[in-house]
Amino acid sequence: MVFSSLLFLFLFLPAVIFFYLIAPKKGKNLVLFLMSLLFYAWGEPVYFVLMLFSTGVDYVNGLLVDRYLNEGKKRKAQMALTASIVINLGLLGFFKYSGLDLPLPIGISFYTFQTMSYTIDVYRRQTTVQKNIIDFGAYVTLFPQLIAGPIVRYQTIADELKERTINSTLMAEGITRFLIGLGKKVILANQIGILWEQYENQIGSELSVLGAWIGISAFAFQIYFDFSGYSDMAIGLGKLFGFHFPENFHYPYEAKSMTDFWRRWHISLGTWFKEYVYIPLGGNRVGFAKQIRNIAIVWILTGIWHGASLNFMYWGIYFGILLILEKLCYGNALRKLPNLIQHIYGILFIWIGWTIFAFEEEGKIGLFLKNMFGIGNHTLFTNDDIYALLSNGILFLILMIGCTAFPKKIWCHIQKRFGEENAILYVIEQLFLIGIFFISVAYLVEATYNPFLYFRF
Amino acid sequence: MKNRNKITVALFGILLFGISISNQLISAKDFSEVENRQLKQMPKLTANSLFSGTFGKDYETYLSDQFIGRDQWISLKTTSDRMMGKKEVNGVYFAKDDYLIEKHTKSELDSAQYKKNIKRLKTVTNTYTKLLGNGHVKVMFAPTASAILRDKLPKSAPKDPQDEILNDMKNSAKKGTFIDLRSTFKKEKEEYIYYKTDHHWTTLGAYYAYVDWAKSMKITPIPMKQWKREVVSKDFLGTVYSKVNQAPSADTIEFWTRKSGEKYEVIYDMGQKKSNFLYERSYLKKKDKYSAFLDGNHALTVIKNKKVKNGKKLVIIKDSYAHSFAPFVANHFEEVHLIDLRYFNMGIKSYIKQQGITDFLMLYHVMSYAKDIHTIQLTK
Repeated sequence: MVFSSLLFLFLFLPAVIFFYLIAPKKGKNLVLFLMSLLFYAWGEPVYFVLMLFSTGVDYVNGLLVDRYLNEGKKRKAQMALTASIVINLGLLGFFKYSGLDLPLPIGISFYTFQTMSYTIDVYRRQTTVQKNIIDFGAYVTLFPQLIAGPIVRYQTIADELKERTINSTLMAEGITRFLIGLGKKVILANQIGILWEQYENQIGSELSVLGAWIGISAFAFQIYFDFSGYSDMAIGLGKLFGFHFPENFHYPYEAKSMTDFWRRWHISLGTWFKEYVYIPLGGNRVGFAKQIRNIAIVWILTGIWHGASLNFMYWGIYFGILLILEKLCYGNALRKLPNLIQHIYGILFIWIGWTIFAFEEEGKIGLFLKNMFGIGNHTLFTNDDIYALLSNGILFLILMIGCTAFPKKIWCHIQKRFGEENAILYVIEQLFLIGIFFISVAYLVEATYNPFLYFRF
Repeated sequence: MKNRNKITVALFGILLFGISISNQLISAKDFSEVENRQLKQMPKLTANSLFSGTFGKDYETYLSDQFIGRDQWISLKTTSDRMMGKKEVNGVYFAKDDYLIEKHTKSELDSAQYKKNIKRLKTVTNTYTKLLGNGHVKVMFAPTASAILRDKLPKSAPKDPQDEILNDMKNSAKKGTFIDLRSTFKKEKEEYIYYKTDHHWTTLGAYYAYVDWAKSMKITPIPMKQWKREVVSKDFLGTVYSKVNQAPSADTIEFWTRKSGEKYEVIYDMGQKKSNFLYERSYLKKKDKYSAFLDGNHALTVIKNKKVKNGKKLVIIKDSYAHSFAPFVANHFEEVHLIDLRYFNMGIKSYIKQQGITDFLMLYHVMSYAKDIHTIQLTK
């Protein structure tokens, strides 16, 4: 099940809220656990078993690690930890990379990383072991962050699993955040995605230089608004049930360098690799050569995490190289350039990165890049490009402004100017949210609209 | 502040639960007139359907098919698209003078089928000319609004493929059989020759096509002033409207009858239904008003004109564009046989011989012939 569906909004969500509210305090995690299993199993009921398996295995391994550590048997604790990591990575490898023709269990890349963080944290004594299997199950399966992140480390919400409060402030924040995410996904990402689809297949002679830029920009906005919209929805839903999930995006297209970009893009994944790979390998304290090696490993893994196809690895390597170059060669020089140049550098290399990311057939990456930079025989622009720009101009404008901190700044400024208690501002805000809600539902209903017009003429 | 947060929570709580509960309470509809299709009903829950995941998928379709206020949501989506400056919504241009015009692109065509259909035009025109003689076989393809009403389309609208397709057709058909409607239609484009909300031509458009056809058949067309034009509907919202669920204005439907009087017998599907009129007024009360022309789609429709005794019989291999066209040509033949290849299972050649047909016409709109997957039957 996905958040941006009628099924989720008008059946699952009200149901889970209802059961959650009527459940006694002690039963609330059980409600979350059971409903999350239902959420997960909806599309592929067999993977219900997988989820229970993951929960059971990591629960037991966590207990074992803790017990052996308490008994001072470090070797055995390490073995239990290794077992947990091997099983999690094994699951991930089996379903994602084995090349077998199995439907990919949704969110497997996210939740295997989450459960691994638990046993590692227990081993490191950074968190206490969870003895209650229901509470632990609620963490593993927690539907708001189950399938597309943010990757919530166990220690982040360990306390809230036991004790959390809900009040109207938190709920209102959650609702607001969820609706903004829903709008980003349904109204913005899906719509610009249609344009990308049109351009994606035109590679080669048909595609003009302008067309290539329109296409990849459409893709860049689609992936950002899709992914960050999903994270917003997750964070918002978390708040509805009293959880505080970490932020996952911070205006990544405002980045002035690739180093900066990766502090702003999919933050929870970056944190995970830093905490569980880069630092354990010695990070930057092991001498220059090893630091470079560590960076290389992290970025190859980051690439591979995104998918089994080779282009994702290239994408990781591409960023690894740029990050090393920024560290070693021109990072300092870049910072001294005017802001505008730094932003152009940022967008240019992020966009080139997306061409690598977008095409699973590697041959197309080179073709598309040549297309973008007018290498070979390409027209500058076509009539259809002009039409696409005219037809999507307002959408592009919203996307460009919407991916910066500008709207938020303006709104804060207005609130300061008129006072946060201003009733008119409150009404405007609510109307805006209602608008997003209704338009999003309209797009969701329309997506299934299927007029059988020709009724065979 | 605290109170306001409570208002927000209450507001969206009411919206969410309100819509969800009403969705469960309203009774399921069987059929959508706007979409012209059966709607999904509540799927059966069995162990098998549950564990294979089909129940989940079917339930989602059911939920969205039966979603409360479905048509209004679609209309809201169109409004939102329009506010975002979209020049087209769901493949429909919002064109000048209140026209909704269906967009066509080359990518709609399956190139293998297209090549076959173009080639078959040659075979068909040759074979049937051999059978019926020179001058008795014609093919006519109606360009749709997007090809003719170009200056009503949004600025920089992509090229329409129909010009190229018509050229291909013209080149393939045997010389003297192809009737090219483009120049006539371009000349009359300021008149009401296409519906504003439907993909068909109007009765007037069909009349202009009839004049061109008659000239090429060396028949004198019956002049416009000899027809009684009756406006039978002013609130027709057609198939193009259905794609976006809103329209700036509705269409007018006209029935044309001879001032001198008519006497017809119409036999549908080998006598399954009979009528004395070319127009079925009962459809005018429904959404699907275009079906008033010759009762919509049938495998075989035979029109007998009791006032004509000339021994001539015409067969029209057609799509629905022919339904408003046939009433004109019916004046010149004892019998007109309309055949819809999608439902008609007999070989065309043997049917022509068996019925003593003297003349042949193929009439489709350009895209519908270019995409038709039933053309193989013409060669049998």
